[in-house]
Amino acid sequence: MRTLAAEISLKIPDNTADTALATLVRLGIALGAVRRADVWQFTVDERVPADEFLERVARIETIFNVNKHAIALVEAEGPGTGEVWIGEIDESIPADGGELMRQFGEGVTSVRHRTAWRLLDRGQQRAPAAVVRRAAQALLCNPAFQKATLPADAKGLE
Amino acid sequence: MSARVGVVMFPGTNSEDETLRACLDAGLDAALVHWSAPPPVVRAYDGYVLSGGFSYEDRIRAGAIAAHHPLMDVVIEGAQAGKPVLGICNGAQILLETGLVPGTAPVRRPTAAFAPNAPGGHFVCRHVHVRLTIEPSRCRITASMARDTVLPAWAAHGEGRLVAQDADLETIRAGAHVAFVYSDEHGNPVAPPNGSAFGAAALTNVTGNVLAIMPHCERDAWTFQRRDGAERAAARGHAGKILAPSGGMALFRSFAKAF
Repeated sequence: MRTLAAEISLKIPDNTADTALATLVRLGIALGAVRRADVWQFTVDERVPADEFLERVARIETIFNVNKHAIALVEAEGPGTGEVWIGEIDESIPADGGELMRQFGEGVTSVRHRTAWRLLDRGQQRAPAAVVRRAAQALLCNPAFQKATLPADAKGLE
Repeated sequence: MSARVGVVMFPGTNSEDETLRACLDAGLDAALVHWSAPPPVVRAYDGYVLSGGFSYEDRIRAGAIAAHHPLMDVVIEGAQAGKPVLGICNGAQILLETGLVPGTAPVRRPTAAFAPNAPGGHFVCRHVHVRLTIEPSRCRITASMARDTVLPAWAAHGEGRLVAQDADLETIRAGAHVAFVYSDEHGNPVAPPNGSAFGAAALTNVTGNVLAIMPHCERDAWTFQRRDGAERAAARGHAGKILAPSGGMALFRSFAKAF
């Protein structure tokens, strides 16, 4: 078993990211841009060759539309600098996980979803860890049912 | 003199008209409040109803953006001063995102949420009943109802599952915050349509002046909205009967007496 992950993002304007930016700025968090992507982590066996993985994810019409989405392999196991990944605490209730696995085909045993937020400062550089943490606390994560995974350089802030 | 109630609408709100009409029929001096209304205008109301819909397209999470809208600063200020506030469906989600409900932590530090339905995260649209589970006087908005009142309503949401950390769930239970649970028409418990903790359909806050209810009572407030074929059939052709109030109006009548 191994985990392969795909990042699906919009290649058309992302209204949700724009609204998040406007709200975070209104909350006093100095940002210049917000990017958003869905990270889908699939636990798969040997029946899923790595070079077929993205192609199989791209066939899942409920999460990928070639006309408006871009897809890429996620190499990292967690968020990088300037990022926070938001997922549900209780992953025993995956949103449509069973349906996604059915559409993915044989060789998959589980699927997890994260929303990856990439925050850029006004100079379009990745935001520092303290800003990312503040944005997660103020808006991006509801700790009642979600968890925020911060990059390694922000661990001391948790 | 009737209390002045603002029926708040955000971009994406879709239930403001029937909510306004229910408030007016209950005897309130109600008016729609646009999200761009200046704070002094919003502040002048005696109470508020946050109506259902999909404010800001549910971007980030249901209710999350509206909860941080400047208009909500005025609603929060009013709620903390004791004004009655009723949130229905998306309005309820907004109230939990603000932390006004259950209100056991500082505002904008939510301790509970109406999260995606379980199992599967699917949207639910069905007629339901909800039973009052608290002492009516525990919440000002239910104070004029009889004990164990059963209300008909329509559940229409993709995010109605009450969730919280274990300690917060215990606080919600111990503090009698669960105002309504899903039931059958006789008040017997039924499985919630969304996996909600405690079978909860509505929560109130610590001080009992704010109520967040997921199902839409304003969609079963007049006979013409009833799914009950026999009742509707009997009323057909009789304007007085088809336009007569139905069970959901009880929520708004009780709300009107909260002032």
